[in-house]
Amino acid sequence: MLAKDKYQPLLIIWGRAFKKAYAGISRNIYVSTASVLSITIALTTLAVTSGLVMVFREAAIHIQTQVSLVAYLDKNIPQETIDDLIIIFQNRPEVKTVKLVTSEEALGRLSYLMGSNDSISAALEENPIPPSLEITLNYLEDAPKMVALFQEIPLITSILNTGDTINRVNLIVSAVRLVGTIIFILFAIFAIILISLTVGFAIRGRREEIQVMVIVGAPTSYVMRPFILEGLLYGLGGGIITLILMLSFNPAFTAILKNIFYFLNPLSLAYINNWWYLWIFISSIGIPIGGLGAILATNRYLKEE
Amino acid sequence: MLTYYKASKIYPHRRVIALRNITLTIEQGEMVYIHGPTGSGKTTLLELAYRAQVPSIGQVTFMGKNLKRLTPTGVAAIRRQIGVIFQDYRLVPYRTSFENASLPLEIQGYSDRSIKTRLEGIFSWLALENKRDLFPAELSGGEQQRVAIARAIASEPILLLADEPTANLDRETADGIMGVLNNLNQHGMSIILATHNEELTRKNPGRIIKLREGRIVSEG
Repeated sequence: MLAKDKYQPLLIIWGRAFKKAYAGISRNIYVSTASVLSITIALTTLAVTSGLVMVFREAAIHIQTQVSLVAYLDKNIPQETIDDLIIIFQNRPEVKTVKLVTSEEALGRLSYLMGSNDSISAALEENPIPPSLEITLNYLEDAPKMVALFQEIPLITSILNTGDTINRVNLIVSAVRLVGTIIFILFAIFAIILISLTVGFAIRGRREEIQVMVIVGAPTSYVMRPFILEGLLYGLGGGIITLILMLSFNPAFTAILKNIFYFLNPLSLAYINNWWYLWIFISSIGIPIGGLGAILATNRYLKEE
Repeated sequence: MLTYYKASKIYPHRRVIALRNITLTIEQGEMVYIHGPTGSGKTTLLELAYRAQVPSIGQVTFMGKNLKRLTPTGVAAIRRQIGVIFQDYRLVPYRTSFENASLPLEIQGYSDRSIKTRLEGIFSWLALENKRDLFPAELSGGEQQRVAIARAIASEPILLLADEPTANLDRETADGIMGVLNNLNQHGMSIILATHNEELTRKNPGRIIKLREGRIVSEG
């Protein structure tokens, strides 16, 4: 009898499968490159979208927690009346916090935002900014009700409903997520189809060999293994390119986001510095995408046979 | 070793009854010729043995296992114990003769070194030493068939099925191939050979089973 090898036959079988998968990739180099690129585009879109959605969500939460409504008061309102108003509002079940911003504080904030502490106040003879009450609500849905209530109080001259801003930010979050998801799904489907076709070419190119292998006792797993590996390698390739792209552009990407969302507490955006976890996770999605394309191709071939 | 019990094969799409009620037993170490004209059911009879087909009625057992009831893994395992050679050789055109013959051993996970050791002996025995790096297109018909035999016996099967192995060869080359098969049989390998060539069955030792229109008409 023919003696079996001392070491694992499985190791040898997997080694041969890898060699065949590599040969399959290099045989159709242009289609293989297109497959890898389509996965790269899908994954990069997903990565950028995920980053944007995360930061936009952070911004929405930040605005919501900071302030929901701003009630601007008459400039001549006495302090006791302001104190009464604060107590009245604080006792409302809808209200979480009430904070008084005096005219001086408001001017100070404006000067800070303009990047100068002296020039504005020096240029103005009188502080034009009225005092205001910054009110956070327990639920943003109560904003219209509270706005209606403030409008009945003659001491309140105008109302700023930041709920609208939050809604707008949330709308942007939803739009970014939707568009990003659609692009990701489209490119992922495109990648799966392309990989399925590429692997299909490889299977058809080796049809005679497969038929002989089946006759001499190759199990289905043995026959299909190199093709599945080929698909997985496309996914891995796409994932690695995406990871390199995201890691290369990460400093620029995060700098842009930090610039746009300058008003956010740097601590709340600290995770941006560790985004490589996210990039690795998203890049790894390429492998199942590649595998799925290959499985579709091999199943189709098995059905044809 | 191999038993057909009331086995019939019907191809419904072609509306053909290829085999009718075949009952036959092949013992270990036997040389059996299935003789009959084209369309008599010889190839189907062989295909039932390596489970390329399943009987429509009746059963076929190999080493006590009902081939119809095998799982795909079981089928692959059975095929590793059976060598098959075809009239058209079925060699992979882009593999050298050595690579073609190594296929069954590769599948079973033998190392390149073991395969080389094993095949060098077989290639030497089949007088193919100088042909190992040639592709099928570079070989003559007889050489291609010998490579096919090398592939079929590489993993030391217990049964060898040969479907018209000499049909495409001239008489001298055919005799050479038959010499190889007889030699294998003398070393204990069971062989079932399908042929339409009556002279071939007369010239060589073995049991002859005659098939006509899917029926066994004589046996002896």
